[in-house]
Amino acid sequence: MTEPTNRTLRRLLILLVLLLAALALPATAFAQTTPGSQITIAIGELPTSLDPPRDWAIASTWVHMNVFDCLIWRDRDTMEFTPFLATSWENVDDRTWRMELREGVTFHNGEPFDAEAVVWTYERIYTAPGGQADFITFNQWTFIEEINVLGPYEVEFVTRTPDPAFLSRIAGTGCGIQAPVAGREMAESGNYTPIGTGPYTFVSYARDDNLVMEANPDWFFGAPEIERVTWRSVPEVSTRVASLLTGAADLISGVPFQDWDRINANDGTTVTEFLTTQVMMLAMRSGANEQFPDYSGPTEDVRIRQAIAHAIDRETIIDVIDGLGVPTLSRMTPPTLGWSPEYYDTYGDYDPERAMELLAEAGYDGEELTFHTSATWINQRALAEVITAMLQAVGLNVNLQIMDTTTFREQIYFPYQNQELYLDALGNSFFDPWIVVLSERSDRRERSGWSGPVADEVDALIRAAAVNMDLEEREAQYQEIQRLMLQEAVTLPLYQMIDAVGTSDRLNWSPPQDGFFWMGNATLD
Amino acid sequence: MLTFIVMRTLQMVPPLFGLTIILFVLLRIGGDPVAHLVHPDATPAEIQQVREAYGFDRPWVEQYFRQLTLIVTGDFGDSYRYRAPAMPLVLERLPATLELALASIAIALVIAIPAGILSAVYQNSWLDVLVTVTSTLGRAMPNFWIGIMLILVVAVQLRWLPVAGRDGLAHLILPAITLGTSLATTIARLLRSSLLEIMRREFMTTARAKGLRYWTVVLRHGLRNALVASVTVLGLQVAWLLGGSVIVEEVFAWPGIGRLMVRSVLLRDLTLVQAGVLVFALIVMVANLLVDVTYAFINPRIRFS
Repeated sequence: MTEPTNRTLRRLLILLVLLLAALALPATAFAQTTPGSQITIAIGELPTSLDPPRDWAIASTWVHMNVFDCLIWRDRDTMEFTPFLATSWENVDDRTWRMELREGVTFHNGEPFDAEAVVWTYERIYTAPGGQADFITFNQWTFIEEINVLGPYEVEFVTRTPDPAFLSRIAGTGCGIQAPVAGREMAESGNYTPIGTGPYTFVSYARDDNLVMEANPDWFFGAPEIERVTWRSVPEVSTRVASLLTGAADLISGVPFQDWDRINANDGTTVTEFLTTQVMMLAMRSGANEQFPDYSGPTEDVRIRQAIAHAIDRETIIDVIDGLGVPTLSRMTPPTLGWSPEYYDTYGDYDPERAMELLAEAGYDGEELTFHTSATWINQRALAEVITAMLQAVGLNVNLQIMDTTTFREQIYFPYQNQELYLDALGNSFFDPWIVVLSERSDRRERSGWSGPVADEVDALIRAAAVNMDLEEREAQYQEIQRLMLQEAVTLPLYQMIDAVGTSDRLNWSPPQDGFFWMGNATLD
Repeated sequence: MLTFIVMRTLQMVPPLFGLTIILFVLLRIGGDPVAHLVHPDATPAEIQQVREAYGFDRPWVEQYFRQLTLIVTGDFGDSYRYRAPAMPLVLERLPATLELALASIAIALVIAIPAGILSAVYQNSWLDVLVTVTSTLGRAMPNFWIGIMLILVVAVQLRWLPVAGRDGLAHLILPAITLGTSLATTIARLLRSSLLEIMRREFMTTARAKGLRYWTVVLRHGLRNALVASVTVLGLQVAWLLGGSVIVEEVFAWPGIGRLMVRSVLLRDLTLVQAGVLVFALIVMVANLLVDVTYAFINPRIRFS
């Protein structure tokens, strides 16, 4: 090389331009599409444990349910109970349920499925000495008093109390039956590998990266059409969308509204929206309780709570969330027993003038209402701000405190330190109403502190409905509970949330009502 | 030199000890892990049961020394979230993080060294302006944004490289460029100014006067001296690189320690965070030690003391 000259500089410029031009030339596209009868699913996170009772997160449930079968299952289209590992069931008396089990089924490791597997699967949970410290789903199974083996393929469940929600619970999250012999060995060794009877067998798991499963050729409903499913953890939503657009993923979760057009406009990809079981709600504290004995605030007065209910304009709220919700006055949404068109798919009684009258009647004098929220859910921050504006418009003095999810859980939700208002969403994949009213049973009012004659009436109804085996009567009880809770404005359900998945057009699968990614019935073009 | 390395290694112990205290205070006193270990419907009694089972009801000092005892014995305890030993969970991700960090450094050096040299040699030319402007822009753009843009342009529009994941060399390129470009801008600017200063020194003129070729003088005498500052910065930038990897690993779904740390911090998985941060701290300390050792090879006038 020679000394730096203008000529050398010119050569460098030409080299740079040529380099840039070469970059612009068409190159072979990187092959990202999953080949053959295989699919890749990109979701926000993968399970922390492959043992179903140890991880209740939604994404974990999706993975578990493809490996493990339940005794009774929810039909993916209708959500009706359908036979799975149990071929039939009978409610012998209020506390006893008998089930005939499917014969000739084997676990992925070759162990036969029988009554002993049923006993082992559930007994290890509901008899766990550490309770929730051992299994996070512990509470879900404590309704079982005992399981009796009546024969190799017949079991009897005895519940602690009459339990009309028995079928919902037994078909609920984490219901998958595990291989007992392998399970016992794994419990001793501490090395857990998921072994079920489900449509897919576990192949490998690189923690927080990918999890691979293959079609179970011996599945009792016939081998699934898709031979291999790879689950990928892709936490960043824009990366998930990019994965779908490039064919690196065939199914992605949680597609935000702003990406819908881009995905639909892309050749070979589609967005499908579906109703989740989650209901966004504005919860209120009605009084002090053991967890917050010093509480004293404006929402103790039912008229203030009613004023808040009248100040909420659900129509505007639905606009703010880009139409991604169905307005509701109740957490009981279809097809949950007790849901009613009177409370569902309706905007409620938005009446700011009445709200101001009620505030005047209550003698409201500008006392501060603390309003806690996290920004966990899509649009939750904007929603909280809009609600604050609505409440301020009728004259309420609202102190909105937006915090991250971790802080909200640690400082507000679990120490039960919520004050006048908080915003949160809760789901109900059981499709039974017992769980959505549990927070207003007299011994579970840690966050509401509700009391008084109507609260006592609701408590009695909740307790009666929980053990009422007469479905019609039970439904009426839950409708009465909804009416009374609305009357006293205990919590204000706002809307049932709509979510969306993105799929490649070669995948024939649409989200069911619980939104769970079960691939047993998925096919490919 | 061996004495120097041993001394420097021993000097790492007190900061690591201090780090365990800072981590404990920030994570344990600042938050409540039990909130992440129970079902949303958990009763106060159940929450208390879980608190006792994990020992979170014990006095903080006792909890800290229990944790410290585990660390000293090399156990670190189990991750609350994964219910598995914490250190193996971190170490199984170490290759991914190191792979990304080394590739980023390689990309940074490949960009920065020619850019810095040419920018100095052709001072005030269009090339110098281009390097300066690009460096400023590169430093100003956050990693998160660079990553998303690279995905949109290179992976989605051009389809040249995969979007995310860790399935071979092709998957490494975009995250490494994302991390590496920011680092390159720092090193390029530093190298330019160091080289400009060196080139004005008398020994450079002497070398030219002896009849050595221009580029021989620049590369053999100038660059060698100018690199001392860049290597120092590179060592210091390892900490920045690991910090940046947290974001880049999230964006590119890269299964490294950074991603593990994000979730663990949010869920107050103290044992896992401690194991991860201590591994990060060790990497930074070892990198700084290597920088000190490298001085000797670049510039023999520097003596170990």
